[in-house]
Amino acid sequence: MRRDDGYDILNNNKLVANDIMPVVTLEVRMIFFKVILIAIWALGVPYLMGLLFREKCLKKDNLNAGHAIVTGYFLMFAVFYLLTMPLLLASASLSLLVILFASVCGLTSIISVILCRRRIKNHMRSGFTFFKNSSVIFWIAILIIILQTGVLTVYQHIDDDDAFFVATSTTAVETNTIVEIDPYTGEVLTAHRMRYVMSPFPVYTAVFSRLVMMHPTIVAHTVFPAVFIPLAFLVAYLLISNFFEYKRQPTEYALLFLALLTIFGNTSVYTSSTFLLFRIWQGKAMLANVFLPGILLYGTKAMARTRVRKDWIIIAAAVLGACLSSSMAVALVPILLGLLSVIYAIKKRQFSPIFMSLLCLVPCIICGLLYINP
Amino acid sequence: MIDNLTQIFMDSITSFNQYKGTGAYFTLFFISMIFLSYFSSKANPDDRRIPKKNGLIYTVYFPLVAFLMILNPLVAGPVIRVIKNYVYWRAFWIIPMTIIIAIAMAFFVDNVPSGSRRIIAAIACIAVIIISGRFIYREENYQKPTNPYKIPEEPVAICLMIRADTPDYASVAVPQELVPYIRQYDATIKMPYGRSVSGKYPAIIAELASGSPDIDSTRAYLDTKKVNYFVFYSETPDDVIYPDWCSPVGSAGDYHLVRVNG
Repeated sequence: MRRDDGYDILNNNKLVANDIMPVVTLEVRMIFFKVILIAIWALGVPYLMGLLFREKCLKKDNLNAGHAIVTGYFLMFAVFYLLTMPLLLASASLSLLVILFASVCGLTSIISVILCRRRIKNHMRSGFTFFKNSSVIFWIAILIIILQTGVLTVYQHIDDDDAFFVATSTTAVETNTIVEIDPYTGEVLTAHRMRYVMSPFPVYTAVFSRLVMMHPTIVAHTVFPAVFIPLAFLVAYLLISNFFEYKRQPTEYALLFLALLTIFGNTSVYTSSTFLLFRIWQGKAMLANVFLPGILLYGTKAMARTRVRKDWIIIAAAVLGACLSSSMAVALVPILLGLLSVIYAIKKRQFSPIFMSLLCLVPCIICGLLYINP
Repeated sequence: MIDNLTQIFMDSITSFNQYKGTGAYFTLFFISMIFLSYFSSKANPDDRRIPKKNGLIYTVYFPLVAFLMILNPLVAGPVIRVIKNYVYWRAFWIIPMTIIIAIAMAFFVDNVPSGSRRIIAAIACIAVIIISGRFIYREENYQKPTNPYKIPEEPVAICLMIRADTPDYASVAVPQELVPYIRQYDATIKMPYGRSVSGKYPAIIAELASGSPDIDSTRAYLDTKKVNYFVFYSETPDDVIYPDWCSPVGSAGDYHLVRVNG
């Protein structure tokens, strides 16, 4: 049996070069193909989904490509959660979930390419202009973010919680089930632990690994850091640029300071920065670094408007995504959205922020009731 | 009731102490909020140097109210009931502390006249970040991986040896340090026990990690749990006596895989 580095474990022999070369060429081609698949599912699909929503549903929108990507990710996670829960409760196979998820996302992306092709071209042009006009400060910040992404992608940080979360993904792929097998022992689960059933982020890892044809553990430990660390910084960048009303220079300074604060943020093992750079592939790290700041971003934008608009759909999608990521969302998202809505309700003397927040929090309320009374 | 609320408040303070660590970033966070509030109280609302009210909501008002609410036992009580007190420190995640500090520092630098003074202001902020923080890239936090899965080499080798020995049913008992990794690599291999957050494991696990295991004493457990492989740790495996009911398969470092016959 050959190990991944070509070492023949049965015969304790190194395979000779002639045996390895055809295999290496094929493996290089496969790696290249898998990188393309990762680019499609990690960047292309979320961007196109977000673009279609913002172009067709939010009519008067600044249609920033960054917002398209973040919106798309929230919508994609929401779709995933809404597909997974009924299939999980019906004991359906993982393959069915993969097919349904890929179909919905694929169809949406194709429609987006057809209906939004002019906007895609504009984004390419404006993106090039954006980077061309960026200052040295911005590029230093980007370099530091690339360093952070690179370290966790290339090096390893071992976390014992992966015994559950990553093993759930590998179990789902190997058994073609959705949270029916105990990831610790491989035996059939006799009683579901509701907080993990209702937050099946490892199932997303399993589905993603099927879509990009890679082992779930490699996806979690190598691919997801390369995808989700930049995503977390993108959400933070949008929040910062919202504060500075899209003025470039102070936003670029803030991004640089944020990148440094993250690298030096290991003041305790409990901070969101530590979770970002240690274990971003786990749902709770995504909650801390992507979903909660994202809900804050779109919550403030929606509540600041004079009228209720469709961007509350983004918040609702982000809440669903947060519920997917971690059982902590059941408590943390209502606190965040609740407090924000009360502040805006007092400021604007309107009840609509509280009413709309309550509507968005329905998934959290349902999950919370199921945790307390399974 | 009062005792209950007092206990909840103490739990929330404990969580705060866990989360703040050295406390330096929390200090910067409070200074940032005071700084941004001070500038917003300036008289001229059209001054570009003044933070706009909407921005102040999520950089000052919301974080301040959220911080007080998290420590409030009337709020903490129901939250702790859902997420448990030993992870209540995660409630502080709703406050984007580092983003607020970054915004305040950028706001400060942007209001310094451009040129060498602005560069000095930026360098000063960077110095504050470095001095008050703790560098995350230390040897104990990151290691060079030995395989693409980024798990230790021994569990990978053990899984490969099991699958080379049999493609059929396989269940393996391993020492505690290997428990988290077997099923991360190969979820077709079962285990009689998984990782225990409380640290409670069956007695066999201590025997397997002892360095000189009494293999015969493990048989009853292995038969009951239908385990057909086990791994023990030993730096002197030649001294280990294998009973007739089991056979050695191979070794990965100081971990030795044994098959239960029959």
